Amino acid sequence: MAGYMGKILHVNLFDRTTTVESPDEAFYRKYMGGSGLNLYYLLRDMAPGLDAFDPGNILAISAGVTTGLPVSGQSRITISAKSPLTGAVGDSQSGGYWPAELKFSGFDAVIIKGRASAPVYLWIHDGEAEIKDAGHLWGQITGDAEQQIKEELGDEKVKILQIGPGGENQVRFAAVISMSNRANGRTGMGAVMGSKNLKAVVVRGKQRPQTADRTTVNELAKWGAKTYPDSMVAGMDLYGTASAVLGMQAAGGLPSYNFSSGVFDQAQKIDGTTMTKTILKGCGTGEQNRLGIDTCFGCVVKCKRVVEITDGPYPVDPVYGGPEYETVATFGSYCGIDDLPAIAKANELCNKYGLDTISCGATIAWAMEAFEAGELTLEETEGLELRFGDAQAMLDLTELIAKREGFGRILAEGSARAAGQLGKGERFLITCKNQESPAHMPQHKKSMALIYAVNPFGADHQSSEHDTEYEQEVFEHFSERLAFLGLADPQPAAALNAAKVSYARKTQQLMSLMDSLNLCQFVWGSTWQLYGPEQTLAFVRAVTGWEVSMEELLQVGERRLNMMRRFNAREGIAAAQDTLPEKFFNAPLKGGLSEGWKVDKQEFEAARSEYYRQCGWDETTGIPAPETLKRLGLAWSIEK
Amino acid sequence: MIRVKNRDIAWHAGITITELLEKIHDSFPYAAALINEQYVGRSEFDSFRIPDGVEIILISAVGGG
Repeated sequence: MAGYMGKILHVNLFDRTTTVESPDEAFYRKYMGGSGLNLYYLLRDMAPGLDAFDPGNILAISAGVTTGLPVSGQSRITISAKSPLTGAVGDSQSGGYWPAELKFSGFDAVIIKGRASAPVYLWIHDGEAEIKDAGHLWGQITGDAEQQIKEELGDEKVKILQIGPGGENQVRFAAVISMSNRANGRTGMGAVMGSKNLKAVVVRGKQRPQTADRTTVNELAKWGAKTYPDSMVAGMDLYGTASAVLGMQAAGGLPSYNFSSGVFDQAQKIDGTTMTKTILKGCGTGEQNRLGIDTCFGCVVKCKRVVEITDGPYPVDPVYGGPEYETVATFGSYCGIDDLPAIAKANELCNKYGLDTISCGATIAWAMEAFEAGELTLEETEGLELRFGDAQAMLDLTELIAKREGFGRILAEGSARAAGQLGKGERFLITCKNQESPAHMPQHKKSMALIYAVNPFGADHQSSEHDTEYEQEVFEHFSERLAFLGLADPQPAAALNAAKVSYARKTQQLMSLMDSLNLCQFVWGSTWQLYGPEQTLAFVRAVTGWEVSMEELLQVGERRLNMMRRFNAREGIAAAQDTLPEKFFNAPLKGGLSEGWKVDKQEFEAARSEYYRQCGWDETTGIPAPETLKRLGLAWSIEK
Repeated sequence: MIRVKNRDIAWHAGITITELLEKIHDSFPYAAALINEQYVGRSEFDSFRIPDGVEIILISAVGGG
């Protein structure tokens, strides 16, 4: 079966046993891999209503059908489980070299259940799996644990996916980290791993995925390398994703002061271009374009940053990489902080302790706003003055959260639970389903209001294309790609009408497919990315040899979303949770171009009903209708 | 010479960002440009005169994360 290794590893940590399943081709074609495959096991094998930290929670880790092939943007994994942050399905992606190495080790996915009686790690190599003791690694930061595992296995080339102290301490937004600098950050998958006493999953192997049409796969790889310099993603190598800071600022959509404003006067001080010139490794000798950038297996885009700071108050170890746009925004403009070395330090702390930078930075920004408004007292913060712009307070809190010490004990629960426990600050929350919003503003891009609300795993910016790409002037540059999805009715960014809902829904299905193929959404997409949807279809056909259509592929994305909705419905999560924080409706933005912008509640609610209707879900509850589940081959899930 | 999008373009006195974009056949609606760390908004693309020997970074408002 081309593309796949044909084996899924099942691990029971309770009795320390492993089994190997070899699904048939029909299974793989239906669920594809990545998040789609994960959801199948979560929905089939998990009892409803379990606490996320119950041993019965399933932690599913999957690569995709194209993972491990020498084409840009394919080395990704998805980790899924019930989320301790949202109480809904949890789902998170990341890149690096671990995903490709999982395939090389002989497996497409690892499905983990149970809880080990003491810390362990999983060692998967050349089709074999062992559960090894990890008591000596528990408590170690990621960089130290990474080095120790390599030494004890006697192989510098093993790839390690692990939690840090944040996951061990079950911080509800703990991340899973690989290479000490790549994060499956969102929805607290690191906390689930910690609850299972699982420190790491280590992979190594010499097996390779096969392809049905090697010539076409090679042509796609060459096309990407040749086209990159003139593409819309050109410059990602030089300036990274943080180069988006100034674009967002120009549009009035850079979240600042905990989403109170869409502009930050000091934006240029924290932009990716400034990062390249001032703190990337090698910038002192003009070698940052060689030493300060990093990439994932087989990718020509090279968007990853490597920051090195050796002097000043915030030294940063290059082992822990450098901040992405989201990280720069959450620890920067969200918190009113213009000190780029301090932001890079916060990124280092999150990677060494294993925390999601988005939720961590946003939770601190929430506390700062609540403190400045006088709702949080010094007694509650245990003596910490929390004011916008205070970089040291931001860093101190990050450490306290990871260690669950002091005021960090409460913030480790996430901002929504913290507000609930304290009975304060609810009006400052920027959470959807308890997950903190990423750095794209629904007040600016109106379909984000819809997608943040209806997305099954909470506010997420990578679950659909954004409004700016569908505005007339920009649309003209992407019209061929969008026409391939049946989208040819451009709309202003501020519109939230039926045509915009259709755009959000169809691109959401495509992004959902991407998370099942595990393709990087900076490299593969429907607008500005290096490759378009027509090439995605060609890639899947060439790898698998299947005569799939775009409709069939989009249905894979739609199926995943419906499985997620079905999972959530069992947990009592439906339309009532598909909403936005009151702040987005009631607190108009202050300053600059976006002065006065907010989300209109009536317009939002009409768009949500239209979205449910277009999805074939109950228009009142938002739960998938039985006929929709049957159409998608998910009739089995109705009784689950 | 002007450096833009990894290539060198011949400079002449008075060249604007709009002219430069025409020269490289790039009609994308960029939100802004950075020229020697100076921020130039789109509304100034027709009037801002590019100095010789600079690198220009074009800024778009599209993109995710």
